[in-house]
Amino acid sequence: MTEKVFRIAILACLTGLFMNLGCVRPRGTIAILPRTTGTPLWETFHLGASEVARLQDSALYWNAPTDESDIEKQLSIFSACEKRRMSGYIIAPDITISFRSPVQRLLEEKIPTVIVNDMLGPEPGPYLSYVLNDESAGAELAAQYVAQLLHGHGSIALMGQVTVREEGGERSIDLERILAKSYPGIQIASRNSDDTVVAHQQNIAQQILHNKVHIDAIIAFSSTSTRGAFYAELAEKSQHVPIIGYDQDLTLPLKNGYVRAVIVQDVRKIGQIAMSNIALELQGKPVAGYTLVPPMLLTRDNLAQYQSRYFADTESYSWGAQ
Amino acid sequence: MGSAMNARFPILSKKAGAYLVLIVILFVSVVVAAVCRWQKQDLSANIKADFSSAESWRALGGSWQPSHNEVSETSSERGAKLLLLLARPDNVIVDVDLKLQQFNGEAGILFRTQDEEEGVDSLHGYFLGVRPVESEVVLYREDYGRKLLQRIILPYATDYSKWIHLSVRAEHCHFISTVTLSDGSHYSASMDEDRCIEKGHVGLYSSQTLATWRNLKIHRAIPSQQVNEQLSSQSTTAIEPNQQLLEKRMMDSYYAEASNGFDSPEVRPISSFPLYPGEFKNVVVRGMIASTAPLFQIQDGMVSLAILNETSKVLIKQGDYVEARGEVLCHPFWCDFTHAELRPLWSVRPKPPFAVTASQLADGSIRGLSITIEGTLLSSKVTANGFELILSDHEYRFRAIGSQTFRMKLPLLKPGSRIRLYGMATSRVDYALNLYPFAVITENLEVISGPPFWTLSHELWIMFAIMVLFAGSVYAVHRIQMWNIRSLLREREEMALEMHDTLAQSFTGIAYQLQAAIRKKDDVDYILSHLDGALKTVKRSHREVSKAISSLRPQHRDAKEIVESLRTVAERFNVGSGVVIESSFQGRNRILPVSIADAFFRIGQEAISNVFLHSKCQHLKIDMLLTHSIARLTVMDDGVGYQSSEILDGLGLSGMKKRAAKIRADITLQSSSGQGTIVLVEAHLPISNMLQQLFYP
Repeated sequence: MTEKVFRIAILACLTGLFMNLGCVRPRGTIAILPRTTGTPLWETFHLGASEVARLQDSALYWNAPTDESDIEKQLSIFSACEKRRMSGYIIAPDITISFRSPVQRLLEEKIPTVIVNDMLGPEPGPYLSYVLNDESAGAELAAQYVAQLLHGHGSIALMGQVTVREEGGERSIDLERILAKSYPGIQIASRNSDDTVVAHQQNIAQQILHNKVHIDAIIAFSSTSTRGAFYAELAEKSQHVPIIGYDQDLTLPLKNGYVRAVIVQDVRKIGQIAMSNIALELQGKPVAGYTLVPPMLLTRDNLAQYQSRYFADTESYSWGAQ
Repeated sequence: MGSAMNARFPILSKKAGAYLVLIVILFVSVVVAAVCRWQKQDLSANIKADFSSAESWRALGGSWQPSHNEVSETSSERGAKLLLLLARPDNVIVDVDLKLQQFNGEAGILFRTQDEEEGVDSLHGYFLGVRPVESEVVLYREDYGRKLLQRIILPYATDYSKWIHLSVRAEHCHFISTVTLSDGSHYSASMDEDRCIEKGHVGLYSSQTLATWRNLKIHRAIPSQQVNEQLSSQSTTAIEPNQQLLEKRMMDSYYAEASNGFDSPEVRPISSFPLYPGEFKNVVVRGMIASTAPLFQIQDGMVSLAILNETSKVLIKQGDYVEARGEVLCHPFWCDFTHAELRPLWSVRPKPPFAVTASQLADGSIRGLSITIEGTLLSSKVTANGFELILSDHEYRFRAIGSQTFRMKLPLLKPGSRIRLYGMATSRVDYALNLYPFAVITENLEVISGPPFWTLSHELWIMFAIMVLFAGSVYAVHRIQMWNIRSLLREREEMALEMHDTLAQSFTGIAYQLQAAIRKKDDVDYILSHLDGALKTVKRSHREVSKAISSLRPQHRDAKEIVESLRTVAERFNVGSGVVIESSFQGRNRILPVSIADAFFRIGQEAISNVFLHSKCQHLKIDMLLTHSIARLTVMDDGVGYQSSEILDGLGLSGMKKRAAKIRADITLQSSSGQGTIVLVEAHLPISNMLQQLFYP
């Protein structure tokens, strides 16, 4: 009798111990913290990462702030992930410098980390790699298109210049460099910063349209500013200033010509590469420090051909297994 | 013929062991039941949701304005969720009335949700909702990513600003979605899903729209056949999607959104109004709503205006960037916007508030800005419009007022707690009441720390506990001392008994022999005979005393050594007898408890003594078996044996029984005429001794 009781007690203690251990440390889960969720851009990225994770039988944790500018929320999600001891991280910081310390902590703990679409600062190395949209290639596409549109001469306004991330800064710097070098006949008439409020971007666009300085085209460096420029033309009931936008958002304005072209990221591929990098890091294999993924210029003419690739149908995908 | 005694020495008796097992089973049952209950809190009764009971709800994002049976989401935030915490039903019917104040976005109900977090699709579960732009009802499965399960196209002329009725029935993995429009028409669809989510919370969801829900009811599902028949009889014919019309509606929604943000040129900055008496008519300002009811304030940069008699046509919330038209009336030190008409332009995430102290607010330098301030709660009370708190920070006392929302749970606030308030400070007489230097119109609050532990009542309780502990310790020491004294007395009593049995009786015998020798002085042979008797008695007494002394100081606790010592004892007896002695030890050797080692040695010694004195045997076998839970000693001979129990008692069996009883061991003596004798003693070892085998080499 005593022996049985003793055995039961030991078994109960061990079971409780293992159950508790299991509660606090889910092994093999990769945290993906994009800038926000539920948008065509980030859900297509999500799809790419999830496809690779499913092949590798990895579990994903996916969450982000509802507002892309809410860095405090993104950091609090990161902190919650740290407590849950994730195996790896894929992060697209809302604000570049805010994530330097958290990523430093991850690297000290030797946790594989991939930074997406931002140059955080630390050089790539063991446990850290970057998967980036090729902004120079995107700027080249935008410059070529606007030069073709304006026949090499004209005045343009820049909108949505991001000041809190390296990614946004690169877009405008590269574009201005290429225009100055290859298309000197195109002048920059105004430069305007970005935020996440469409109505504010619309306000900026309307001020550009009302300005006495003549504008031949608007280049908007973000999906928010692209939509703001589109809304401004809707509100003005005019469609005379061509808009060249960036990043996946609405397809209808592209289809009906309000937006002439959009430089879209191959985020599905970015997600796949980022997830593969994490898997390789976890296996102790080397990964490329920087991976540049070329973007694509979509217009009304090639939208139907490429829509399924760059605006993936995420609503038919079964996310349940992630 | 044999005799046996049942005496055991387990660490727990059978009864205690049974109780322990029962307690463990009960504990495990309670834990399992609690886990199952948590996993599957089903509906014991139908629920009609009461939105005014904040404790029952959990808000994840959004700004939820409750009333008794109605609740509105006023932020237009993406992925705002309000979850009912009362139950996690499985087979359920959820009904709700819903209306939208904006043309875009989506809103509806959540069911069977789990792992909910703040975020757009941050949950596992199902969403059934309406999308006015697409004019459809959609059923999604949400897994931190959404999959479309079902779509019902509604008439494109549907007016979503009027109440529509949404209903979902979830029975196992079969779902029936139904929508009833304001004109009474019904649309429904059903579907089955493989590997569905089987249970979870019920809640509300909205994204990028202003929505109001009412009459949320949750029922247990009834048999599906009836419902299917009922629904199929009521459903209106399904409408085919029209891509061209859909695109037109989407463009219309974009246009409506774009029109709302149209720029107006005559705006002037708030800082342009002088802070001395004056009146300004037909003024247009733009700014962010820094606070709402009870005090509306619009902020432009670092300055703000209070808005009195606000007459906006739509709900305005904190963080809205608005255009205000009306009159500005300036007083000494402040200006008010009167009869203002507000038009929301867009919403922004309010900037993080300034952290200030009470002394900074009391000097009047910070007004109209979003602030955070800490204070110690002195008192709290519920008022008609919400709550009122009185707090202190160093030498300042101030007032905080606000309305109860799902984020603020007043009953959890305890006097003495350190509270952090988020809101806006004002010294207006209607808020500061001419009693306090300022009042904080509170948007949110958090408890930084509970009341300090070292209160008078806690100190008294701790003193009481220490006294009880001290008294308990004194009592325990007293009991230990008494137990020690009793042990000593018992030991002395045993020694006295031992001495009486050996020394006293021997001395009596010797004295008797000597007295007899003295009485017969002339008879030398008689004297010599008695002297010889006395000498034998002395020798025997010496042996017994030596034996008693050795038993009082046990030197052999190691099981193997006990066997060897008993063999030595036997060999001493065996001098000149020619008995073949065998000894053996089986098991893994270790140290036995003192009481068991002593009893085994003494019982074995007695048995060996009997063998040599009475058995006339040729062979003697001493055997010790040691398992992890028992120790067994066997002394066996092939002598003449005994039949009479009286003889057995005379052989010191009663002494052996007593020793065995002390350690609760079983003792058996088997003997029959000409068949030899077996003495077997078996003791159960305590748990501490069982564990010893892990460490004993």
